[in-house]
Amino acid sequence: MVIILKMSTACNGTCVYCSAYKDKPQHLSVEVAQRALGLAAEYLRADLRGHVHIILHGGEPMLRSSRFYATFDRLIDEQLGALRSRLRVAMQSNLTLLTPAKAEALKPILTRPIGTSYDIYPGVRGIRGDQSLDERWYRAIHVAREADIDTGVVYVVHQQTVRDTEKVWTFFRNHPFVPTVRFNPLYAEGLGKSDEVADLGITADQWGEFLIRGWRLYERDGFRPSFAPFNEIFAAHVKREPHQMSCSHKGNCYNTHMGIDPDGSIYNCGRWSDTQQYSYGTVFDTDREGILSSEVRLNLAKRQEVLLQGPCQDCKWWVYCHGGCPNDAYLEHGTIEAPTKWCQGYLAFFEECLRPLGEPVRREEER
Amino acid sequence: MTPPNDYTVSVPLALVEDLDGPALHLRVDDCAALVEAADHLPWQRIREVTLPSVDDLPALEAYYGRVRWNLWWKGFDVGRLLDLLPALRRQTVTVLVAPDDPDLYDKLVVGESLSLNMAMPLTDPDAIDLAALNSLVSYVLITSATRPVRIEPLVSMVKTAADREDQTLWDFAGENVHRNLFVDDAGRVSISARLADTHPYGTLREIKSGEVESSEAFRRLDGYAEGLFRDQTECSTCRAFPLCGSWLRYADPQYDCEVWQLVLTSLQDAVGDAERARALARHR
Repeated sequence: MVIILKMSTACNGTCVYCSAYKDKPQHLSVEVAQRALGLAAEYLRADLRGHVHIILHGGEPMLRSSRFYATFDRLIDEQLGALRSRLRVAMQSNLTLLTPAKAEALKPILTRPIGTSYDIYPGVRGIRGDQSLDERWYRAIHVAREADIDTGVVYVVHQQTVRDTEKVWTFFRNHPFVPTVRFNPLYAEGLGKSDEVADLGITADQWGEFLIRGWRLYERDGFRPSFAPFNEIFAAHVKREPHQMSCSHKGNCYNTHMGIDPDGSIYNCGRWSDTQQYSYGTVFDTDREGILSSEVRLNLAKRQEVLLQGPCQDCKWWVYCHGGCPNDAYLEHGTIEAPTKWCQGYLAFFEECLRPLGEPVRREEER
Repeated sequence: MTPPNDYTVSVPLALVEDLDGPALHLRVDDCAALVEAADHLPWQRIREVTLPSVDDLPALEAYYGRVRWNLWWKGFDVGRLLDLLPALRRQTVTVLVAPDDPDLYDKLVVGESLSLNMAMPLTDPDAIDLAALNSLVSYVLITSATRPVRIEPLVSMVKTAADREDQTLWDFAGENVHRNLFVDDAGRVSISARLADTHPYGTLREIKSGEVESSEAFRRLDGYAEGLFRDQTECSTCRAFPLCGSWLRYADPQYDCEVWQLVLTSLQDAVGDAERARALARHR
């Protein structure tokens, strides 16, 4: 189980496409944190060999004080006790607020890298105040390295990236401080659906174009950069391990993911929390059993069946996609019972780049 | 001066007594002087000795097993090389050919074919005949498909590209800011002969233990790579960067490295092709 825990919906960033933007920011209270960790403990008790991964998310989670994280660390012990050994904690942050003191407070909590967003194009990402994001970002990278905290980059693909794929790829491949990158398409949520961002947004064809160009570069580099989704697609198609695809493509996120808002509302993941749709209830009025039997969750679970009887029926690439992220489908079509807007892009990419390497994994081969 | 433990210090024979430190690379201009001083040298701290000529080796037979020997091959007298073959074939001996030697390619290939460890020290981007470098890269790539090749730093470059080791031309040139120190004949300390004039860390007398790292020149070298990415220079998006590390442009940011880029990317592409084929074959 992956729990995306929104530490705060406030942010010091000014990224033009922010999908999590909120007019009235909220901060996670100690009480909600306690309940959320209690829920994590329930999942760990129910699956004696499994792990729970918590991703400290936002907004900007580093807006929370070192003292808050010290409290959070204590709450983990209180709520999980010995189960803590099966808890994994990561963070998604713009990193600019990482100081040595905060790194020290986070160090006992984090067991996984901090995912940090970055872009090489000016005007796309930024922070409030006089200092440049780059200046703060590089300073923070040094703090993280000093504290032995790993970092990876999440890159949002937009129009300029599609035009300059090789430049962006090579920049990150060369970068001495960036061991891993995840490329995600810019999607229309929060500020991302405003008119101001229309020039940056990409179509399904452009996402396909980016994937094709990226795959050629990935091939050129001997399939070795740790760049998602390319390494995941390589694992799925060449190693025949489709379970290595990300949550967007495995079709079982209703079983594997959960998002918790600062007010305690529970969603299927952080993206649904941004959309504020399909809540399972709150940490105050439901528990694991309640979540598992939630009608909203059961509807999400039915999506696979609906797609397989309808638009995805004859698709040879189903195992690599499962109709894509249900939140993407909802944002485009107003319903989850449709493939996502990226479908055509993926199809073009699969046919052009994967087909020459072999037939797709069949549905009956899927574990 | 006592350099930090991780460093190898390249020092002229005349100044070796002024240095403490665990790993020394001795530069010798006159073999006779070395023979004379040999019994008093701190051999336990000397890792390498570089001598002016392959002809110097026989005089040092008593010390063969103690260190690595680097010997310059001047002229193109293959007969003389054959005379010295038994001694030169020792594992601890490397025959050096200057990058600006007009017979660079032929000498390296002849020496390598005679099973000698051959090396072409990188001194300056401009010093090397790029046509010869290109031919050497092809030779190493093709030959290494059938047998081990012994031409440095090309073999290490191929290995680095294949294993994604974190090494660049800085390392191959002996200019790793965290590993290499160079003391010139006047006792000035820097990273290398190439940068001794423009980036001095200080003199042997001025620099005390560990203070190398607080010098302005050191900080400039140490922060160089990060600055390339922060400023998004051409090097940050150059395909050859993983092997080059912008070594080519450090001394001259305008240096025209187009041919170098072609050579380095051809090497990377060859390794990438092999990697790709291997990755696909492994899962078929």
